[in-house]
Amino acid sequence: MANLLLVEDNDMLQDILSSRLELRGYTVSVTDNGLEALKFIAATPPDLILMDMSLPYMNGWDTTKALKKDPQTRHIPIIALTAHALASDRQRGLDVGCDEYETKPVRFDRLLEKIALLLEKGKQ
Amino acid sequence: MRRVHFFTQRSSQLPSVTSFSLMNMPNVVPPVDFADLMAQLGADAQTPPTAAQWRELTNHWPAYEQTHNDRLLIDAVGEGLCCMDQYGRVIRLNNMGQHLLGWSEPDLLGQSFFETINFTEVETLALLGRLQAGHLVTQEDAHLQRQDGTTIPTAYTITPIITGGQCTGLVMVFRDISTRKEVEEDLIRAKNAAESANQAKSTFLANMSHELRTPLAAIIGYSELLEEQARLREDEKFATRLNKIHVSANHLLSLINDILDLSKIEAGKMELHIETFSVRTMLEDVLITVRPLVEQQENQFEFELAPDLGLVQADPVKVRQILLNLLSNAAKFTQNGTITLTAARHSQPEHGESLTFTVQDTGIGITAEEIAKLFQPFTQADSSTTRRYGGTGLGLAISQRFCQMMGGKVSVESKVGRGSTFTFTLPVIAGIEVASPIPAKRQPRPLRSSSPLILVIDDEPMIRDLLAHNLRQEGYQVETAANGEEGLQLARQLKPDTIILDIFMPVMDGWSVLSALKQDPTLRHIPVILATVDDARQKGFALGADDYLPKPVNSIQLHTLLQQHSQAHHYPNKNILLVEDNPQMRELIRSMLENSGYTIHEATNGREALILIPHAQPALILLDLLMPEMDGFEFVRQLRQTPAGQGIPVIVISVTDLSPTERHNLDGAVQRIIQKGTYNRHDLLLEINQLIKAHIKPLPLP
Repeated sequence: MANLLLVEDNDMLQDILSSRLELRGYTVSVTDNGLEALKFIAATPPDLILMDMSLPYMNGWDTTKALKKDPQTRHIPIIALTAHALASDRQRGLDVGCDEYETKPVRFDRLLEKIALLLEKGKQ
Repeated sequence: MRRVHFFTQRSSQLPSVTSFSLMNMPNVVPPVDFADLMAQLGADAQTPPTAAQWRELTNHWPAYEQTHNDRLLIDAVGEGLCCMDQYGRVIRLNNMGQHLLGWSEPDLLGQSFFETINFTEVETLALLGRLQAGHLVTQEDAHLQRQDGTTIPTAYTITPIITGGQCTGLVMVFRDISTRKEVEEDLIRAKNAAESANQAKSTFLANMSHELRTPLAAIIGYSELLEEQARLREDEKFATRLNKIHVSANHLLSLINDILDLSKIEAGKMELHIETFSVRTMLEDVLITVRPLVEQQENQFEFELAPDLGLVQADPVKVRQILLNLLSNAAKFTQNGTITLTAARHSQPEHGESLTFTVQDTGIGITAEEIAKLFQPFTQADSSTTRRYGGTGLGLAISQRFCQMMGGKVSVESKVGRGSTFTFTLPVIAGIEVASPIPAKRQPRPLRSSSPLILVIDDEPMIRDLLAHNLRQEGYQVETAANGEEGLQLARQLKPDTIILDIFMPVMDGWSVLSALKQDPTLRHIPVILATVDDARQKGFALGADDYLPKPVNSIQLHTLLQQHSQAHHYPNKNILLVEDNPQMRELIRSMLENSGYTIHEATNGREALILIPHAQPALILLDLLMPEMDGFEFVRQLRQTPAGQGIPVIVISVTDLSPTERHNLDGAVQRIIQKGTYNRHDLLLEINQLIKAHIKPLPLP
């Protein structure tokens, strides 16, 4: 099963989301800001990243931009998790290179579908 | 004696006694001394005159009677009263006037009254000017200066005395309004206090609701997580109990969300996020969301969406919320009935374009008294309704306010036991007030046997229905297949004009269907559009797909694609005249349209365009407004005067917001006004397609 990285600064959301994904058989690593995420990804690149956008130190948009610029990490699909339900915010996520987005509070079933699709697409 | 004589003489010259006799006197005259008069009659000044003495007095001394009566009268008035000559010099000031101003009458006689009460020279002159011209002067709230330098709030009226067409004097009546002022100030203070308390309440609620949501998110998240873990361990009882926490917490969250919305609205903190979006796509999204809910209580769900809904500029999240609220209400209060959603676009000459959505149910209905309170928060007629049917009872209040923020309104008609109809109007450009809607039912475009036939192959029944519904509304003939095999069979039988194909289907997936279609020489030519959640256009194109639609299907894209693939013969005239002086803009628009089967003719100003029209015979004109030689306004005016130019639809592409006058000048003469830079290719194509269709006379039926 795939390795996922969850970048999220809220402990409870970290715990809930990672536990639920682990129940589905995914291996989940967690970092709580963008800088740590970049370091982690350089050492152990995951198959997919779930990225909160409002993060301390380095926010999700900047982190995504950096990842999508780097040829080593460009291919890793990123799902933006955003509290902003506005279309302009979604667009902002897609503009920096996120492959998908999910609005918080996360609809878990939909998120699972998106993860599965992106992983499937990555294989092709 | 001397003074009385003086009075007699003067009074005999007075023309009339209808006004104060003293008013005509050029100089200030002191009041008649009562004791003096009495003494002349031999009466005792200390005791009131007898009736006989009084008669005698009044018979002999008409001037005394006059002045004495004047005095009695003006002192009897409970308001300040000052008699002046035409220049504002004091002749008399009554008791109340003396009391209010702190002056005694003799001190003021002959003085300018207006200067005394601290009017400036300019004010005084202006005032006298008005009065001498015969105008009455009234002031509801004026501060007059008192003798001790303090001021007193008054309301006053100054009346000019007109005699023989001349202003011969002035009477000012002034009233102490300090009590009224105090009451007023108290009221204003109370009102401000109440408002700030209300504001504080709303702010508190808004903050509080936010604080409440954070822990609630944890409760919801953990109850969901634990429920899943319990199910994995097959501890059903435990899972069911956790599910109750989860469901209740979700319910609580929705209550808090409603209260948060309402308190934000009331605190003036609710903001609109205006975007331009396709009404149909938004509606499709709403339908998919709400359908399971509507069908829960054995209800039929029907919808009639007009084909020309087009684009709207509004807050999509709020429009969606309003529609979801109306639909879920309908679902809640209806059982074994029908819920119908209709949407239409109207054009009203004075109010611009608006959209009307109606949600009609055959449910329990609402009484007239309940209707009166329906949109008021926290006053739902019967709180047992909330208890019985759930919800906060705030949904309609919120919907109404959202709607008003965007310049629209929600209204309702209902009959108890028969059902209710909620109508929601929205200006196409949010913020423009619209009049009440003209209800109009749109019939689906009539089918012609010459309409292109579209075959939809999708295993998901709802998507199939929606697609089919949309396509029929657009005038296409539609057949559907629920799986790949059935789809192939139908394709062989019917030879459709276009096939819309889903990829992920059980038994025989879209890829296999696509290969089979493209290998069959009798079917190979039929355009296939892939509709799929999978972004696999490369593979699709490699296998022979002609186009690709990402899911959820955006009906604008769908429509545009079908326009392209269902061949030009359906709409024979594909000439577009582009009138635009800027070469870059021409290039941009040409590049947007040239792949869609249109022929673009270009003109760089209105004059050129008028010359080109007979040759180009355009089906539609795209028009810039600001151009050299002949601008867009003049072009439209001249175009509409020629018989050939009357029927051609015009889309104005404007660089700036038009002023109301400019809009008015174009009104009725052009079909759409689009802002430069606010549209994309699909929007523009959609507008063009719709307008061309609307202006083409239907082909005769075979």
